[in-house]
Amino acid sequence: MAITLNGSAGVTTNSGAVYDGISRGTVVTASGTSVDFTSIPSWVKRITVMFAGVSTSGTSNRLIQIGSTTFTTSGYSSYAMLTGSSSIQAATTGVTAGFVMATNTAADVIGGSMVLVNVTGNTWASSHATSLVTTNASFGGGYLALGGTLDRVRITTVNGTDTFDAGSINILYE
Amino acid sequence: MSSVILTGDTSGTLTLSAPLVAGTNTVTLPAATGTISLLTQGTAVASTSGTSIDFTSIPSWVKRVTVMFNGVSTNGTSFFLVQLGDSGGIENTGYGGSGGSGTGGNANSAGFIVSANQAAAGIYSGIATLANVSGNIWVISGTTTGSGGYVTTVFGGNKELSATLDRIRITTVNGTDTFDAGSINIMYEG
Repeated sequence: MAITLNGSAGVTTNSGAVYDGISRGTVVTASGTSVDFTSIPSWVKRITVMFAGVSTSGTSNRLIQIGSTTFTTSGYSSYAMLTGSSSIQAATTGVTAGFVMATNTAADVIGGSMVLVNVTGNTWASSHATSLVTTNASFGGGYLALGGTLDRVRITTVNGTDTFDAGSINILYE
Repeated sequence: MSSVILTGDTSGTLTLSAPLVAGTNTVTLPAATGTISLLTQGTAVASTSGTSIDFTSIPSWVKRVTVMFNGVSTNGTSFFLVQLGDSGGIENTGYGGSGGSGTGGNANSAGFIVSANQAAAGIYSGIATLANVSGNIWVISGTTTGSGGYVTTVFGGNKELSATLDRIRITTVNGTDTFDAGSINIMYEG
């Protein structure tokens, strides 16, 4: 038996439950030039964007954008690095169009996740560590003071024209 | 009244308790439907012997598992590997991903590489986070660092199990190096 606490109707009992510690979106097979997750609740403080074998047709760095009603495409502070054969490589510098994830070749396949956390108000910070088959791994971080309450996440590329051609993407939010 | 006790349909009880100290406290639940879950910590295992460390009986509702490495060392240089399993046992094929550092990188389809173990003297610490994409698809992400001048490893990857995750193994690529220092534990949540 479960209890439902309803602000209007009072206390009732039924067979449902009331709260999910971690909510999961609907998994999306990566295709097109972008993948969107919308209707993210206003109470969310952490979002995990998960990449399972994701690939694109080109070499443009992957980009994660967040938004409030519409996607925000400027104002980010974001950097990413690549682990290389003999050194850590500075792969991106000062990307402002989104939270960037470095890539190197079209053959790169992403496995791993980016975590977005709510610092305070509408300010969000990102951190990621992901595999890239041909260049080992990408890692980086960033932040954005969003103009309103976050309700959406977009996965795309810096040039906006490379297409996703493999893998699946989903989010966890809490 | 300091608590409310709910009796399960088949067995057991659930007790909702107020704090012992008087006060006006409000807990607001989000406008969502689901199941309440807690962040559960496993039992830390001393990584001081053996060739592998297993965490079993992970509940089916788990969506995230955090694997914590606390000063872990082996007697060799084989990279540390995290493997996932289900009711059929630990799976040792079909992993995608890689672990990279400033001195190179490696991929291994037998498991997730989570540390570029540079030397037998290296002592490694860090966190690996496993997240459930959908069904039996899991991704891993994290970093580990070796003390004493040994490298930091960045890693990621993905793996689709044949059934529901219920166990995790930490071992090495060659499967023969033995753990000789530190401890490992997990936290899980759903």
